[in-house]
Amino acid sequence: MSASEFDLLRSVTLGQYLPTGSVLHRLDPRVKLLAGLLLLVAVTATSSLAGLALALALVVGGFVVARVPLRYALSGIKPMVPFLALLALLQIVAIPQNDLNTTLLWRWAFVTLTVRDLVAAALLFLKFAVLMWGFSLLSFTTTTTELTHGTEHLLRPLQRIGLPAHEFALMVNIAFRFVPLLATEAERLMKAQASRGADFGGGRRLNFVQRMRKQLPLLVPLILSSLRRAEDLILAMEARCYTGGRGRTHLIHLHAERRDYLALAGILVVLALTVAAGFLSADAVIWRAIASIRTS
Amino acid sequence: MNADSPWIELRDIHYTYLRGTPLEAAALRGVSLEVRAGETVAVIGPTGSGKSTLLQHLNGLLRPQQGQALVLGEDLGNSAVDVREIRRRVGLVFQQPEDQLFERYAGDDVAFGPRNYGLPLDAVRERVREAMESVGLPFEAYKDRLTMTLSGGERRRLALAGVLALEPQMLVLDEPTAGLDPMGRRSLLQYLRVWQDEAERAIVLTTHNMDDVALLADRIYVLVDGRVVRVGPPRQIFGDPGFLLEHGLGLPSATQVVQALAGRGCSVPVDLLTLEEVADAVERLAYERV
Amino acid sequence: MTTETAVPSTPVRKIVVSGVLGAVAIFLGWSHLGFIPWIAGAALTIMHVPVIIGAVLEGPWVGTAIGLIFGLFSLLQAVIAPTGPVDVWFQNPVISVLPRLFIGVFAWLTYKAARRISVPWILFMAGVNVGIIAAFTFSLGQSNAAAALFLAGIGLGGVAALTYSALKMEREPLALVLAALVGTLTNTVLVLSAIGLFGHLPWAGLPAIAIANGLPEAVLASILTVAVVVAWKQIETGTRKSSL
Repeated sequence: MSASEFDLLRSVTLGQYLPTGSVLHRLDPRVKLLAGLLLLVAVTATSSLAGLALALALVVGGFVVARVPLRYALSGIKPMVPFLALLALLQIVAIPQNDLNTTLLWRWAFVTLTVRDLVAAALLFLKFAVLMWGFSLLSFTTTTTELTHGTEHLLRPLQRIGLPAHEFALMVNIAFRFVPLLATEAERLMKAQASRGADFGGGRRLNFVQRMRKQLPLLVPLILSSLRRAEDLILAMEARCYTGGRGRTHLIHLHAERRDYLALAGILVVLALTVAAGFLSADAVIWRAIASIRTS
Repeated sequence: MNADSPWIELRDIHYTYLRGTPLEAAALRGVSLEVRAGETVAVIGPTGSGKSTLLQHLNGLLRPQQGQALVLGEDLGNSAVDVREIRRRVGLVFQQPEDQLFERYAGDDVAFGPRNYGLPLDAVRERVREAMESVGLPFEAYKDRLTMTLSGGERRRLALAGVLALEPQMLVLDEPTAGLDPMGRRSLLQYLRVWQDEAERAIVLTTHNMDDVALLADRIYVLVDGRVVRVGPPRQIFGDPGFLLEHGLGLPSATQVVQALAGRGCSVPVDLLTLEEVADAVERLAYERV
Repeated sequence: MTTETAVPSTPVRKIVVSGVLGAVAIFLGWSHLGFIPWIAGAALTIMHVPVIIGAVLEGPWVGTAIGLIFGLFSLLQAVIAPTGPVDVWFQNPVISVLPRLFIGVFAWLTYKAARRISVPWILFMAGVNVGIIAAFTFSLGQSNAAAALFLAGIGLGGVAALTYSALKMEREPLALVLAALVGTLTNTVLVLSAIGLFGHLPWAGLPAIAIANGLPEAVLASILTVAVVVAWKQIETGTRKSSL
């Protein structure tokens, strides 16, 4: 077993692109962006476990259709688990569910554990999980170029009220492309400085200024090389007579096809149900149904 | 480690990046390599053949996932090995090493290495002085210069000095002359030669420049697609130009001239390494004809 | 003496530098390199430093743009992949995005002023800058006299420290340090004020956090800012010699 001590990005799934050529990859990026937004709204707005289960099924179904290995996709949540566990615990311990309409499961000192508590904790966990997985699905199936084009198209109406949508989209595009470059560069720098005996780990007896100074051999060259690349990019763009967004025509036009509309409609329906489940107390209904099946 | 054993022994090394994820990529598929005291070993191969990955196994930046890596008598598969000590004795110089300069003043950057190993100030100063002199940057003149105001070639030599200041036994260089102008290239190679001749040292380098290889290397490993496809001295390797071209590799200028001559019906031996040798051989042929 | 070549600031330049330094800010957050571990498991962040560097090198618009990218990223990270309780608050754009828009402007103003005016004026303006922000935001809640006095005491102590280093430093690095200080404190004060505004934390506790967290972060920010900008602009600093 030898995980490199310099592996910065091993279990980071968010932001990773997997070219499997599935139908999801070929969807119009605007659909995917809107779907992401709708997912965000729906997951935040729902209060029903059943509804969340629907959203989860949607996302997992997405992974399957996109031919993303499930275990890899779901592992993206690993860095979040400690925090989410803590949050769930806090939910149970600190926030009393003063609803008399719930069964008490356990009591220990001042801690009361009710079914409501468990449900609330599960809701919290699932909300974050579904969002994380949903957005990683988005990044698995959409290149940064597509994302930028999609965002720019969606923001174009704002240009009419004076917001520099094109410039902003370009800026974000540049930023997106640079982040992976920075990761590679950072790894290279860490290795090069480590080869000179640099130690990026923290000692116990160091104050924060000293720790900062230890990071300088990595951070300073990283930022300087970024600035150098920026100069090259500026030169390249100016040499191609880029003068800003006004009156600029586009090579790539996004055309929404029927399957894009269908996909969007389907997602909309599922997510609407997710939210509706909360309002219709779907959880209670299902709970009662299960209870009645058991007793019959 | 006895006096005769090789300084570096890599046996059947395998390495895959991001193993276990859908993005995994095999970089080395069973590579074996040996470096002895006093040798200069060159590793050549097309881009993506795994050269950089291989080099990083030589100072413990990467540990073999499979196979054995013995460096200066230490087994790098053993996690108890003092890797920092290995990194001091095996100096690894990355591509474009001038990118790693970060100190305001040139002397300070060269001092970074010795300082990391806890040497006292006067020892550091001595190391830096020697290292800078050996790359052609006189200590008193350059130590207070602003790092970023030096020319590209000067900064590369400064970065090299930074590694030399650790007084390594071996230098491992990844494309040391990439991006240098011809004069810069020549002087860098000269400094490397001088450094090696000073004491019992070894050099491992990767490069795309076959003339460098013809000049410096005692042995060449040809790495293609993560595997060693041929090993041998330069005359043997460059004596089979067809093989190299087949794998997308270039040829030293001498070999190119020989091939061109052969194409015009002038048969000069193929295993010539420098243009001077080719000129001599052509001269001889001319005398023979006469 | 600083050596500066006057490069015209074209729209392309602004967009590209904003994008690149924005990427650095994102990367520092995403890879956790932007978190310098501190006491009791907490960390000091330097992810706002690219904003300051961008503002100092290219002006207030670039600083604001990078601040926007930084803010949006921290919003996105809080929503999609939170790793700590504080992230829940940052799901609110008024806390995560809005304050970050001002870092660049204030850093730039400080930098510009510091390069032209004499040292006592610099200190005065830096103090006024910070004081205005602090007074304005803390007066929105129930500020108490003790906290205000404490702040004033720290402020005076800070001025004394700055005077001392100002007398030893060259103009340009000092301007950078002040810009970094003001930029960081803008970030700290505005973000904390927003947190207070939404009632996540009691107002009375905020000044203590601002100082305990903001000042060390400001120190780190100035170290990094000076190291990068001085190297980039090839500026001589006070010592003029290596340490050898």
